[in-house]
Amino acid sequence: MPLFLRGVALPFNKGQAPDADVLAVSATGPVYIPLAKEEADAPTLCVEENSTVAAGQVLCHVDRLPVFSTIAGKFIGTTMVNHPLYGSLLCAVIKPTRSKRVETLPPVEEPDTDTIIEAAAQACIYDELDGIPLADKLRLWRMAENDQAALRSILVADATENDIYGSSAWCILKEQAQEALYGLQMAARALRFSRYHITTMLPRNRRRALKRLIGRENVFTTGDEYPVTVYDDSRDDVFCIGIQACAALSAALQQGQKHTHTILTVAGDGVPASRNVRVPFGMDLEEVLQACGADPEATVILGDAMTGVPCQNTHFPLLPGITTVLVMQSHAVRTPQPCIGCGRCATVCHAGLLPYEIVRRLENMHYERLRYLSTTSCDGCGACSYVCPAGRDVATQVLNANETRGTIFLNWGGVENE
Amino acid sequence: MNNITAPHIRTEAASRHLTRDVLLTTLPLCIFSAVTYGVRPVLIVLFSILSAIVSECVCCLFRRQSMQVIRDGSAAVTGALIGLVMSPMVDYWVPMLGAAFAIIVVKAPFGGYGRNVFNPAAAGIAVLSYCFPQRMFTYPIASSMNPLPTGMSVGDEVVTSLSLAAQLRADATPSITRMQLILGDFAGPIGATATLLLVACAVYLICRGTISCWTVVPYFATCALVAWLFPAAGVSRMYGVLAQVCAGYVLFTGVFLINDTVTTPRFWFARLLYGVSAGVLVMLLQRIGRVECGCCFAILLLNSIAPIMDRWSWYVWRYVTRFLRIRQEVKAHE
Repeated sequence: MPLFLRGVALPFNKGQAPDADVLAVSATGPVYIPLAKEEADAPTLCVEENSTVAAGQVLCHVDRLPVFSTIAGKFIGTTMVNHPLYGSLLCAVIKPTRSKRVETLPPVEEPDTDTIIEAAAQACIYDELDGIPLADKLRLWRMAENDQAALRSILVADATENDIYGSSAWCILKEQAQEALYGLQMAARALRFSRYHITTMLPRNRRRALKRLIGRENVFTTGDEYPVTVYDDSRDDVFCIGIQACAALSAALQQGQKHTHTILTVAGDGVPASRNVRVPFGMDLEEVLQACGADPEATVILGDAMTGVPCQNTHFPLLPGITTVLVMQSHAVRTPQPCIGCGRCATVCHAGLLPYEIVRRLENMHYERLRYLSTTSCDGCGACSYVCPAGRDVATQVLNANETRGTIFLNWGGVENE
Repeated sequence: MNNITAPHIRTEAASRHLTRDVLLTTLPLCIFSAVTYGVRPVLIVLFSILSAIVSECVCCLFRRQSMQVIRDGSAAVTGALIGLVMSPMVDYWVPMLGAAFAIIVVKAPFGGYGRNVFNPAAAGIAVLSYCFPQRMFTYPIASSMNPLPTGMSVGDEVVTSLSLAAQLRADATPSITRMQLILGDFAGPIGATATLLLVACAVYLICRGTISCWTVVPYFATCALVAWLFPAAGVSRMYGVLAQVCAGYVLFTGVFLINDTVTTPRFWFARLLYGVSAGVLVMLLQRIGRVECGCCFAILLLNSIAPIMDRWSWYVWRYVTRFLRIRQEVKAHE
């Protein structure tokens, strides 16, 4: 726990989305299931072209993990798709049909460490925090039996949603709190951790209702600062997984359901009202935006308002790791002014860096000095840019410094080859 | 659209809001002075602001920069601060000269607002105090009954007195009561005698986030400690503390001059060090300096080492916290 709590208090603009029901949007156009990064690495498919597939039916295996269709439909073939976050991807194209056929796994009766991880792998559960398969995370963090470190470790389901617009985790807490807690419990069992809880920053009335529902000891309330750095008030090691992944693990263990759908928040001033929508993975983003009534002229930002990536083209599949899509009307960009030295960027930096100093060194081309300024500790949360009264892109500059530190001379060409 | 970078939402605060806050706090000080001395002090401050803005415009012309720069309000703040430390009976051209010097010599050559190394207001005051000490440090006796004339110069008919700071430096026993000190009923610069108002300004600026309590609180604590440890001759210890801290420039420096964001350190630990060292240096120069506004020289001296103070205090703090964290982890694993 840092000596001084840092971060910035963001205005919450979640609207009615956390209280409204989740809108289920089914695909009408083709759904794209990523198979590989390049055409040359295409895996051997288990299904033939133009054959009918059920939701959850395995298409192929990549690294011994199944890749399945997220909707029931017709497998047309494969195509290359350009994704703003993952680059070009070879995808299987599934055209939806009227069929509602769903393939499930057998439920796990008495889950233990190995069966839980195996179920997470077979159900292809992705952690929505970072888009990494849950099974990989569990395998990496799993402790040996009688390991003392397990006593000092705590598994946390992150349901904070401390972004301005995002509220999908709050929806899970509203609709599937008990399932999510069961999933978390099972994940903790897989890791051999004895302690686990859900960390949230819900409004007081909803927090009380949640505590009544799943027990006071299972809920930890964190502060309102962005970004969240305190998931637990003890000094123990904290391991975080997403709340949607917990709910999916519970569904996989109890009903054998595969992880085919995600809950997504579509918000911003380019949509009539913020909504949480349940969509299948691989669905075209354009379809989701149309279902939410988004302004076609508005800018679409993939991710939250603090770290999201703007995308020009919205025809790409929705993949795990994204829980918020913002539709923002274009607004005047403030011209950056010289740094006036207010020091707010240093005050809010949760990594304890000196962002203004890093930017100054970068601008003055003192690259050799950058390595003394711990630029690698920056995770790009954007709090420094948010508070900067001079309107400077501090976070972007710090990330640039992180990339270029010490190696700028190599990037000038020729030197590394000599 | 491609050049849009995260975050896609920004705080409403802008650089000009910070300077606006400071300008706003100078308003009650002017009003207080106007009540005591008539319209003349207000005119002095206005002329000073005008001179600063005109100088900034001239510099913009030379640098082929847009005149929009003056909208950030930094020139106005410099002018206002120089005007506020003038004697109420000073000739109008004196603060105008100081403000012009501050902008043309101290601020513009370094690249304008945000790039200056020294505090322009402190430099302007320092130059004036060395060039025109007679004009700057002759104060009329505070009286709301006889407002000062508004002509270019004030004649000999005005009753003058030494300022409190000068009396303390001369080891004289001031005749001002504690209540008068707190209410600001004593001879001194235009905006530097209203003790209660200055404290209120400091609280307002801290609450607005314009100035940092990491500088202000250590500064005043150090000033009070030094005044308590080395009391002025001929007065009681507690009265000495109150008189030395409230005597004109020390309080004004603590609220305005040491909090110029551009020239002070940004890291909290460096700000703390800066506040403490400013306190020691200001009290030292107040006591042994040639002129009674030694604080300006203290500020200028500290401005030159502020960037180094900033970096090195961060290095020290970083290594200390890292060491503590490692020790804690080692303990946890034992």
